[in-house]
Formats: sequence, structure tokens, C-alpha cells
Amino acid sequence: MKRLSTGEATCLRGLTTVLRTLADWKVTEDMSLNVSSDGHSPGVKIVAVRGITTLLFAGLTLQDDFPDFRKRREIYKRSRHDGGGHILIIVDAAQIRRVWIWERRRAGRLADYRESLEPESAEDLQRLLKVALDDLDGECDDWDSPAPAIHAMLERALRPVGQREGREFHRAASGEYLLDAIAGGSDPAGTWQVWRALTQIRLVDLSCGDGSWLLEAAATLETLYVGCLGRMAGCVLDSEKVLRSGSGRHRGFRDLLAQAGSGSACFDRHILERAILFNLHGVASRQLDAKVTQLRLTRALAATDDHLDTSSTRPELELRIVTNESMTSPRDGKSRATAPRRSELLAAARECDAAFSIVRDLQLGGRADANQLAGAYREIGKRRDSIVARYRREFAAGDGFAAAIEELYLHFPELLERSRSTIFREPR
Amino acid sequence: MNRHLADPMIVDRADERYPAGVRRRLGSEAPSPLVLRGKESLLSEQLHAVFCSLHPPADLVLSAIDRAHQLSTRRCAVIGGFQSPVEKLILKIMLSQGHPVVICAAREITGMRLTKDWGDAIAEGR
Repeated sequence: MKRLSTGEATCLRGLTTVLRTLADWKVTEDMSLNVSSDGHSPGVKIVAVRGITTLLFAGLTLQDDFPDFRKRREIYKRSRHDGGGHILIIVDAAQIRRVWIWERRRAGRLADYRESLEPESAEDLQRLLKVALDDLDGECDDWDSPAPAIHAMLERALRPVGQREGREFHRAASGEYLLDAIAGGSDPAGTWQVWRALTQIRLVDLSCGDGSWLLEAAATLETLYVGCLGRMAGCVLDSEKVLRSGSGRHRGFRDLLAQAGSGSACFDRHILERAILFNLHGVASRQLDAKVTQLRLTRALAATDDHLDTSSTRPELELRIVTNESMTSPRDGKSRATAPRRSELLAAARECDAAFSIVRDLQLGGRADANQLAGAYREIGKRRDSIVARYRREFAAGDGFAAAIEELYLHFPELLERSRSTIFREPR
Repeated sequence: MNRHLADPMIVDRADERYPAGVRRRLGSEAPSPLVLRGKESLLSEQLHAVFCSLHPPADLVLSAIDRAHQLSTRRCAVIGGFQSPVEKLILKIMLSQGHPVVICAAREITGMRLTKDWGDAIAEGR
């Protein structure tokens, strides 16, 4: 495997974290992520990739194994979702820029919406990049995604939703094509399917930074949800006019509209809450980034409701915006691509155990906030699991398993006591 | 006779070994004399102060550990009282990482027994 750059290493570790989190989120049945370029594998599909980390996981290095641009583009095309819930995984900013360029060019030729608008050769792409990157440089730095790029990626993620309904779309802007599909359709069943598809979408940003991408995605999803609910309200109104009886027709729509609080002040908050708490996930390389993202999303929710507390993040967001394990996160921009030494893992275990003791003492002293305690224990538990998993993987294979675990236990007395059943399971 | 680094050294305000930053900031209020043990030149370098409450928010304990690891990769030494549990944990991390530390002990240090970690760090000039 080629040497990883800092960004790639960060994203790969993010992918490792999100694999475990995806299992927690019940998106996948087990820890494996089916990544396929042929579009036929079951499980999670990669709708659009922002870089090469995903293919790294699958054993491919896109840049190394597919230097030909045409081949790479073919892989991107074939990794499309073709049914069921799906995930868009964002990995690398460079690919975001390319997609943005393609989409921008397409917007300039509204008459021709097909894939042939994409650059047909590597030279063409290089020329476009040279022109477009000058524009981009003025708008963002290496780690920002320009808003049009986010919209383009969202469109790719949501395109299968519109295609499933067999509807045409004509705009390249964020989600407007789907709104056209919703508004132009008179079929309640179609609206219902679009709604269901929206609720199944998961958008995962593997390096969410300060959460700009996620905020933009939340706003776009909110627009789509509101469009759907508007259509549903229209269907209900139409049926009431026709039947004049307020009968049980479109009961599903009525229930959803009642849940959303249609007509009430909390409607906006409910919709945005649905988008943020159901559809979005993020992985940050630093805990500070995760905190900033959580806070920004909390404030986005609070903007729709004056009574919401913005002094701390919503607890649900802490489960959706996670961080990499600190022991493998980059320090001072240098990635740690080598396996940890045994002493490092044991030291990490001691530190985690000490953190647990401190938090427990805070709890016993009655001076800790319940939400903060829950968050702290959760994070410590994740750290513990990560250390144990790594230790088991690196040093506890075969005959040495029991002895190695015993050694780890000595450095981890408080926490291991609570997780003995996990520790003493034989490794697969 | 060469001074052992662990031996206490008494430094008056007028002494050239007195930390210039302290003298500059506090002027006539600067404490005198100072009793030092270890490598006194650390006080003249840029220092990164560490404070943590006795009762911090529970969800910040782990992030304090992460921050300590980040600090241990920086060049500047870390200074603090290291009294609260989190501060003590940070000190342990710094010493285990071989990072230079300045400990402001809120007690008389001339006859203070040093722990093994502290003694090793002083002997290594940290």
C-alpha cells in the first residue's frame, strides 16, 4: 500500500470509526462495509466518493491502480446506488472540486444534461481544473467544500430517489430537481415513496471539520422534506374538497402532517430536527472539530425555536458526530501510519482508566451534570473498546490470548471489570 | 563543586539566573528569593500553562488527555501547579512522554522528597 498522506490517513481512520458507528446505527449488519465498483454487491452502497479512501479499504488504491482518468470515472459511475437505503460518503476535497466543475459546466449547458457533459478526457479535465481552481482558491481553502460542490454531491446522492420515480429533472441546483419531481407529480403514492426514500438517506461526512458540509446538507434536506409535506397537505386538501367528508383517505399523510406539527410553530424545528437527527452523520479527526460541529447543528436547531438551549450540544448529536480515537489521530499534522507499540497501548489503557476514575469521582461527589456524565462515560467506553480491540488485534492472537489479556487487565482494572465478557471472548 | 540538578538552588531577584519574565511582569512584587530544583533555564523558555478545576465538566476529562498528548508534541515546556486530579493526570502524561515540565509546588521544596518520576525527569534536565 502506498504511503498515506495526512488527509488520506485521517479519512481512513475516520472510515474505521464510522464502520463501528455504522453498526451502532444499524446501517450495516456487521463491521464490514461492502464496497464494490460493479454496483451488484448487497449492503451499503457508495453513491458518490470524494476520494480514494473508500477504495483503499476495499483493497484498491484508486490513483495507483487506475491512473487512467476514464477508468476512474467509470468506477464512479458504476458505484451508483440502485435501491434501498444508501449512504453518501465524503472523503476528499479534491474530488469535490472535480464534481463541482462537472456540475458547473453542466449548468452552463442546460439543454444537454447527460453524462457526456463530463470531461471526456484527462486533458479536458486538467484544463477545466486549471480554470476552475483559480476561482475556487478565492472561495475556500483545502479543507472547505464550496457550497455548489456540496449541492452537486447532494444531488448525486438524491438522484436515485428521483430516478426511482421515473421523473425527469432539469435543474442542477441543490435539490430543486427533486422538488420539481415532487411538485410536478399528482400521484400520492409517488410522494409517499419519495418521503420514505428521504427518511432512509444517510449522509456521512468522514472529515466533517467544522460541519459546514453537514449544515448545508441539513438545509437542503429540510427543503426537500418541506416540499414533500407540502405535497402531502395538497393531497389531503384535494381529497377533502372532492369527498367533502374529511374521511380517512390519506391517513398516512394526515398522521405525518400531525407529527410534523403542520400549521404550528414547531413545524420548522421538527423538520430540521428530522434532517439533522435522522439523516446526517459526521466523523471528525479532532474532538474540538466534533464539538464545533455539534454546537453548530444545535444552534441551527435553536434558530427555529427560541426556547432551545444553545449553551451545550444536544446529546443525540454526540452519537451522530463522532471523533476518531485520539491515540491514532494526527498530532501536529503528522499521521501515525505505524502500528502502536504494546507500551503505548498499555499507557493509553492506564490513561483511560484514570479518566474513568476521575469521572466516577465527579459523579460520586454529586457535582457533575447528568448529560455530561453520560457523554463522558460513553466516550470512555468507546476509548476502552478501541484500545481493547487494537490490543487484541495486535498482541492477543492465538496461544498468547489469555496471557495478553491478563496483561492488559492489570493496566485497566476499573474499566475491564465492567467489560470482562467482552474482553475474554476469543478473537475471531 | 558541580551542583546536582536535584539540589535546591536559592535565587535572589537581583541574580542573573532569576527568571526575566517574572521580574519583568511583577517588578518589585516579584518573589524573592526563589527556590528552584532542576534545570533553571526552563524558566527562561516559553512556557505553556495548564489549569484545570477540581471539578471539571465530566465530558472534558478525555479531551484533557488528548490535549495533553498534543501538548507533548510541542516544543515549549508545560507549567502548572498540577494539584487537581486532571492536572495530575496531565503531569503524568507529560513526564511519561519525556516532555519538559515546570511544577509550581505550593509548599516548601528544599527538603521535599521527590517521586521517582520527578527525580528521573530532573536528572534528565526536564
